[in-house]
Amino acid sequence: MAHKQTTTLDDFGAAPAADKRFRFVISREQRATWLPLVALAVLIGYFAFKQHAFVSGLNITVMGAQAGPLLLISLGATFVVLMGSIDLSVAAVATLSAALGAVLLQTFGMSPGLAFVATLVLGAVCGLVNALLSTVLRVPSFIATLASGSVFTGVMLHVLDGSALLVDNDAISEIANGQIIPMIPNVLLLAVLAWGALAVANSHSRFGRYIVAIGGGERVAQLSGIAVTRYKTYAFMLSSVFAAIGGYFLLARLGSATPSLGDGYLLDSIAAIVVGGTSLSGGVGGASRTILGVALITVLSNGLNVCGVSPFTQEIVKGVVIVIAVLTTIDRVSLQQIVK
Amino acid sequence: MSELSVKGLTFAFSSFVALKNVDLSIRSGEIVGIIGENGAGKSTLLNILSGTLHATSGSVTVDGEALAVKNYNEANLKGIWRIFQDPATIPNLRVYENLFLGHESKFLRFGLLNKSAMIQLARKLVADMQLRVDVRDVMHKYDFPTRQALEVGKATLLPSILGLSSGYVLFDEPTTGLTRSEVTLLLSRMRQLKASGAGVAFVSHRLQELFDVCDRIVVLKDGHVVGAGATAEFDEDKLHRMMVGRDVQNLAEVKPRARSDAPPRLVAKDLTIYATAAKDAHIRRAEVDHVSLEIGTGEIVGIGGLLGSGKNHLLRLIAGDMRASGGGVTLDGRPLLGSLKARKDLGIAFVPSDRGREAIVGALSVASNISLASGHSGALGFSNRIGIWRGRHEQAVTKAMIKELAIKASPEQTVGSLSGGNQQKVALAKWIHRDPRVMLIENPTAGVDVGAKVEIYRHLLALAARGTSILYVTDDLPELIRLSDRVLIMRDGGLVANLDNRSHALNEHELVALMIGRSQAQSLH
Repeated sequence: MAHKQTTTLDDFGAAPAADKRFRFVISREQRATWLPLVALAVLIGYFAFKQHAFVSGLNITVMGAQAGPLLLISLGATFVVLMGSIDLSVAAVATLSAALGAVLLQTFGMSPGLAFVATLVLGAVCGLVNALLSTVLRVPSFIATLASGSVFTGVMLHVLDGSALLVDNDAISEIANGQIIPMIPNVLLLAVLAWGALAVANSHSRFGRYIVAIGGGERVAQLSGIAVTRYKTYAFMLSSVFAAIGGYFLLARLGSATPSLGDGYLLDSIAAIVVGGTSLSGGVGGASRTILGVALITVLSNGLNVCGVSPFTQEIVKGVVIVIAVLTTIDRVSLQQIVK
Repeated sequence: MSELSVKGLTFAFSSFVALKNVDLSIRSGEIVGIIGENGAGKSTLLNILSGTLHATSGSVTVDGEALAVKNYNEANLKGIWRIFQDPATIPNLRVYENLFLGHESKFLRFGLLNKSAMIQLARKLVADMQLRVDVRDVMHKYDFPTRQALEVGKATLLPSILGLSSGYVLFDEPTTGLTRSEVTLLLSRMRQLKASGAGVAFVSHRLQELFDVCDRIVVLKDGHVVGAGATAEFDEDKLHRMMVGRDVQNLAEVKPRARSDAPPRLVAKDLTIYATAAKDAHIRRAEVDHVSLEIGTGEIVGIGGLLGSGKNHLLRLIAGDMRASGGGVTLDGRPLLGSLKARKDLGIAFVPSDRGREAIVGALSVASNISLASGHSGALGFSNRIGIWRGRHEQAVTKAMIKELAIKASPEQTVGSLSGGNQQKVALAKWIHRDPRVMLIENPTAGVDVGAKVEIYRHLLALAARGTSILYVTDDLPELIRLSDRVLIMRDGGLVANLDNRSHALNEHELVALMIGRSQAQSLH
């Protein structure tokens, strides 16, 4: 996390530099709070004007169902980003979880509740693997989770034997697509509840506070007697568990598990986290922000679809939007220390 | 005869003047010693001479011609070479590649690197230096003195490669990590350099080394040249007095405090740490060498010593940030073991001096920083048993600390936006509200302005009066004398003095003498 020059320069020249830097952070904070909101409003306005079907009740419900799993997957990963690491295995864990769920439900006839618990356990194990690689073996989280994601994908392909598995069970579909509250699919309801809980945990629990502290200065946290390794492990486990939950609900929503189920969720989740305003260098942002990013990504994908933009062009637009979002919210001073 | 000289040199970092109106010259074929306390401006001077810093005003000339270099590499091309405290070599490159790093263009043949020429020249250099080195080996196979010797050899060779008549070699405290025999060898290499016609500058804290090889000595203090002349004009006492500069003050503020008869709070016995990591292989002696000490309840003990004396390592051993190779510590009669966290729970507090990197999180609020070490549950903690944060308690404690230490900030302000003094107060407040049994502090007032300094002293005295024992290290001599009930001096990893500051008022002169070490064994009083 070091970004210091020589001691002599530090002692005498750093104070004004530090001032400037933190003024920058504050303005960055403001931008990070307002820009996603403004962008969201502009996008909704634009799509609504362009294609009235965008604001139809049906499409809003569809968007909700799309946003739910993405929110679940992004929420846990937010904590990993917040502590200055990154989790690139979420999409793989989600797909593996869906595959496991499908096999348990369809092949073994397990009840949806038990299958859900099994996927939770799976998530915890995957998170533990990531944490072990990152903390004990000290592999940078970027490469550790990239590699573990590949492993999880391989396991998933074995579980599914490389092909789609249809789950022939109405109850499971009801879990995700049912509407306890009219117009709001259950998967979105659950995701929003989880968002509320994690946002509160982020700012009002020891775990949340420690994660922010680790992201802000891991060495300071360590010298303050915080069990850094333990809390990093919790964050990785939380991330994978929520990815697994997201995967299970994705299965429930679609009714089948396919090897390509999680495609796109990795980029979307990281984009949602960063667009929401959590800094990739850690210590700034939080779970409460991620919901905005998820809304933005969902509106963008869905709007482009509804307006009939070609899927090829959609990919381009999405990539450009993410880069712009990162450019406007990033803390440039910490650019040197990013990507770990 | 050529000459590297500076005239009227002034250098300022914003408002801090590191060098003021310095005149100095280094002629070829002589060795000039430069000496001064930490912060006297020695490194700044070398930085300017070697092109890494640029003077605010004044001139740097070589043979009367202004030296216009943008960086160290350009200075190299003018024949100026610096031997850093830590050799500036790249461990994974081969020896010959390291030797000619940055000057590969001299070995181009048809646009490609003529490796055999490089190797040949490197072999000659190694032979001249009487080193047993295979130039095709990677650098990290060789130990610190060898790497340093290679640097010296490179400096000797550089002018001839570049076609210059003579070069200048600046040694920046090169003997810090060396054993006695290695020092002797290095000094003889310096003499060789001199004989070959190079101008040599030699910065060292060790007076005897300066007396051994230097033709002239220049004494710096607070950025001024306070003394210069032929080596014969100086003796150790005179140098000490010039370096310290201040009138040898017998402290006005001695705080006679009752010595308690209670058993000591913290007892360290034979604490030792050997460097084992490969990157520290150049430090061959013990970094902390069988240090034993006792600190009473509410006592303030300061440790002084030069860079590399091991004083910071000692503090970090007790804090639990480093693991001791031998020895042990007890706190109130019970062994003090385990991680930093375990020791924190037993009542140890540790305030490191590298504020931005180790003591505070600049991006977080004052409140978050103050609660940082106390996120646990329980009486002192900021969360309850199931891990819910006690926000109101945090606010209350933060406000109380802001009031007690007169921190000029609101609880929600980010710490990075505060002044150095207020940041330091936050770093202290983080521990003070815990009423630690022992507080370990590195440089309690580094980078803090004078007003805040006095305030911090007052708070530390108040803390000690409440029963916290304070053990601190500092590079600031007046601070050492002003704040301590007792002063310990460390040199080369060992404890060399234990001085009572209550009954007997210490002066800076004798402390400097103890830190540097007398060349001959001679009693102080």
